[in-house]
Amino acid sequence: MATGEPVLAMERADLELGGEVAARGPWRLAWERLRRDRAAIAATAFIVFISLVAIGAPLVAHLTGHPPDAQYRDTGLSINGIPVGPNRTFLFGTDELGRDVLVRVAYGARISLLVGAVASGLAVLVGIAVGMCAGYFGAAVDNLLSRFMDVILSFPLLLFAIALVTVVGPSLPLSVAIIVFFSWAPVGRVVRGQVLSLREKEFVEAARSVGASDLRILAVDILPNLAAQIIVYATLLVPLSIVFEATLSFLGLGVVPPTAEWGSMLAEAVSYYQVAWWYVAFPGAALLFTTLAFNILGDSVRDAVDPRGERMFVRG
Amino acid sequence: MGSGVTPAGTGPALLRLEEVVKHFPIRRGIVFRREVGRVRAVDGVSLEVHQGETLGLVGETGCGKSTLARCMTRLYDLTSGRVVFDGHDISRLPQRQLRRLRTDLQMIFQDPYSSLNPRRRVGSIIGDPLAIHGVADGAERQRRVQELMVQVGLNPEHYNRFPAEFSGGQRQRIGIARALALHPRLVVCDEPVSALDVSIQAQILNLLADLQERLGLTYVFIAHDLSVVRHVSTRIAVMYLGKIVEVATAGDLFARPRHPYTCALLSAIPVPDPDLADRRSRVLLAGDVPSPVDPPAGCRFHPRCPKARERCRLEEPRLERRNGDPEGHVTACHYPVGPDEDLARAAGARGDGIGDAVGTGGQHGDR
Amino acid sequence: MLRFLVRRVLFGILVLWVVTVVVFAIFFLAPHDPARLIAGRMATPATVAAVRHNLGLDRPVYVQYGSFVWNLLHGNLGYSYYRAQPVTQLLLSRLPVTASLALGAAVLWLLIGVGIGVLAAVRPRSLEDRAATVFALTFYSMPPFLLGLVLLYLLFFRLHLAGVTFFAGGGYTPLTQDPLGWAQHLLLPWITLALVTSVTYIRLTRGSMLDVLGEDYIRTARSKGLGELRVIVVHALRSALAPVVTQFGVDLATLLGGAIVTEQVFGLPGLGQLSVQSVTNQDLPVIIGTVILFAFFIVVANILVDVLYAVLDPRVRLS
Repeated sequence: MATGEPVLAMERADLELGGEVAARGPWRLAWERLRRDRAAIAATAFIVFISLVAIGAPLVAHLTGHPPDAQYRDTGLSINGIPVGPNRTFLFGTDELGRDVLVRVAYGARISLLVGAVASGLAVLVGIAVGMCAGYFGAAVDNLLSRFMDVILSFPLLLFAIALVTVVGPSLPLSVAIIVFFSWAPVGRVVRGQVLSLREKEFVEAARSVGASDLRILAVDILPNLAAQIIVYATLLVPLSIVFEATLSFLGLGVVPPTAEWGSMLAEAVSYYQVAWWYVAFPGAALLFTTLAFNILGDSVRDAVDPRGERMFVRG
Repeated sequence: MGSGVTPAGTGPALLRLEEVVKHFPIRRGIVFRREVGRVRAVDGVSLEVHQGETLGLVGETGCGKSTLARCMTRLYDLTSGRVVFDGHDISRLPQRQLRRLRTDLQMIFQDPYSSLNPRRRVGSIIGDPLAIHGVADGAERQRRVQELMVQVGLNPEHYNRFPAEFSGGQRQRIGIARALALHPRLVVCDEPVSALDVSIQAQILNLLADLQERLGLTYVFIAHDLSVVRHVSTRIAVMYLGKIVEVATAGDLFARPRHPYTCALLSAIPVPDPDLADRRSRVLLAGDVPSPVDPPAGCRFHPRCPKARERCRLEEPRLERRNGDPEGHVTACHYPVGPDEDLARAAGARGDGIGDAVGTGGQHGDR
Repeated sequence: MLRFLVRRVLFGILVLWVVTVVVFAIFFLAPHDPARLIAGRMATPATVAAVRHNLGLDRPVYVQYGSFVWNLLHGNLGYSYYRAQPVTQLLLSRLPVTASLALGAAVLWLLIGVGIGVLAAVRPRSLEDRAATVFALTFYSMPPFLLGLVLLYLLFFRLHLAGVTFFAGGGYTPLTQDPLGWAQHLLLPWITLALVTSVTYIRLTRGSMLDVLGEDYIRTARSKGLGELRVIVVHALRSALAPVVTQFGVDLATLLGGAIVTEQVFGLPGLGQLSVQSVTNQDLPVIIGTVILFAFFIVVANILVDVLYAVLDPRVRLS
């Protein structure tokens, strides 16, 4: 039987009937808990703000009149060739080439958020697929995949990333690929564990007894029970991916210059921090607050979907 | 339900089990998982279920009755043996064809909490079979589902609720509605009331009886407690450690139990009248059920049997009609219990401390 | 127990084997030529060929891999393409730097992590607990290179301007030459690593302490009239430390393989820096050496942790 259609049909039926009775499902309750969490709201606000900055980076460049790669050797550098601090023309100061730090931070947000979203999304997808196969189809598949996950988890990942980048040459897609390759395994492990216990539940047997295929059981009966965990993991993977990408760029293995990126800006700032604090402060703050916001949000989401579970960071 | 519907053993066999065996291998090792043993959950069961009857299946926890239920409905693949449903051998059917069979053969599960997916709405759960088999879509499906909900005594307006919003009894009704959605002919009920409060049990039992009468269903009714089975069953099969030890009509089994294990189970039923309870002999079985990994040789019940003799240790008794029993009453025992025999005394006579029985007051009880 | 150990060791060897294969694969499947790099851009094809022959790179991959494994089994990791030094010697010369960094940081992060964790757990939801949360969240979100920069700016540069010249800005002095200088040079890297790593320990300690403090035997100890400090330190902390030990083994092993980023920020000539340099130079024997050493640390740590866990927590049976 084609499994895609009945699944879709079922969801449509659910949608059509939704709202008749005010049923407070588990999702609704989680949403309401989240809405009352002030830290989560603040974090979300910041994420929305930084996303707008990323989208509107060209607008920032337009308003200041400074394209991201334009070098202002006259106005942007002192007579000794040292970057100038924040002033009216350069709100966040300039870098060692006389480029506008504000504009470059705004453009850097694009890379970080893009990599954060894409890499963690892909990692979660791979993790779900592998974890579900390992957990559901049992013995042989499980053994192979679990060993594979173990091996990956004991790899010196940063070193491998470095080796790979030197050989292949740095690029954004490669950074994403590396991040995905090294972050899917923990997701896979969690999903596998959950599926192993869900598989033994009677409702899976019940689904089989009414004739559901394996694919349908995985999609309709097991996946929705994993959704909470997956959302939490996805939110917490975003900041990890952002940091990983920034680290690669910091080591000169991420994006290629002159592309503006927080990690590579900070790498250059290592030589200038004594004379240009703003060169560390602004990209650093952008990076820190973005990861912080995602971590707070992730923690709140975890609390909202599973109030009894242990929070990563407990708040009163 | 009950004995009035169909005379025992006269209806045609709707489901026939022939020497059904289900072993679960125990494996060790990381890479090469060699088999180090097998759990003999079901070890050669032959049984018939007749059209329109309720076959009660009784045994202690761990005796393999739930495994047997899953073999009947082909949720498990058999290790060996045959399952014949309505004249067709279904024991080797591939998944695809099995799915068509699901419309005729349904199951009600024991735990009303874990048998309903907590993340799905009730309407979606009950409508699942209709969706899978493409029976009805959209508004038509909702109508059918709500009809089913009425049929099992649920408020059809609760269509959009989640299982967590229902009580145990209501949840079991949801499970029943799901099982009935495709108009099955045979429903296997795996301890459908044992997880419920006693006050709720009767309601669910009545509902099942009611539905049987209205829809002409055939039931296999599994329980670990004879008192539940007594009221609902046409015939009763008693299971011990992967084997059937006795089969008889409900009335016959209660009036003239032949297998010592059946007698022990019967004596464990609480009696409401304290005087009666006092006069009755209690046959207490020593020890636990032996491990199904390594079942005893000969008669599997012999280590706990008050009547065990040398022969029981060596030779496995066949399940057959014993002296003086009516047609259809079969017992797997070399030394079946006689009508006036007191098992409690036999246990004492054995004198080895095994199978000690507590008998108080009157010798034979009320039976 | 023995069977368990044998199994773990076998799996460890498997991991090491996979690691070597992957490194070889990366470097031989990729379109590049270390001989050309070493010979220089102006070299004639004949020179490049000669270099290639000298390095043994003209042999088939499987022959190179075979001789590599053969040498490895004899404790010989080959010679660096660039420096006239055996790889083992090179690794040994860098190990003290990284070991100093890792061990010093480990002491610090254990103190910070377990200390704050206990404090937070003893009075949950108090002001201390909240402060611990803020601390944990901040440093969990802080990339180590950013923290290093901030510390350099505040504790090295600003203090220097203010006349306090205690912290060094980078570099390394061996412990045997100048113990004080050693500590001064390593203090900032230690703090950086410790703050970032301690977050995990705060979480673990707080979580398991809360669990343990709820147990009956703690209530018994309290009702016996034991001092609160004694209850916490002697009775609760000991059994709460099992998960901390697990984490500690893995973290320490990871750092011993080279704290690449921290060494980079503070200019420490450790294994991390060596590996980055050798990767940039495509110095295959050194790369393989560092990777194997690193994987070896992880594998050994994992085995030790499992054993230690069983010792600390008798409920765990190794099977």
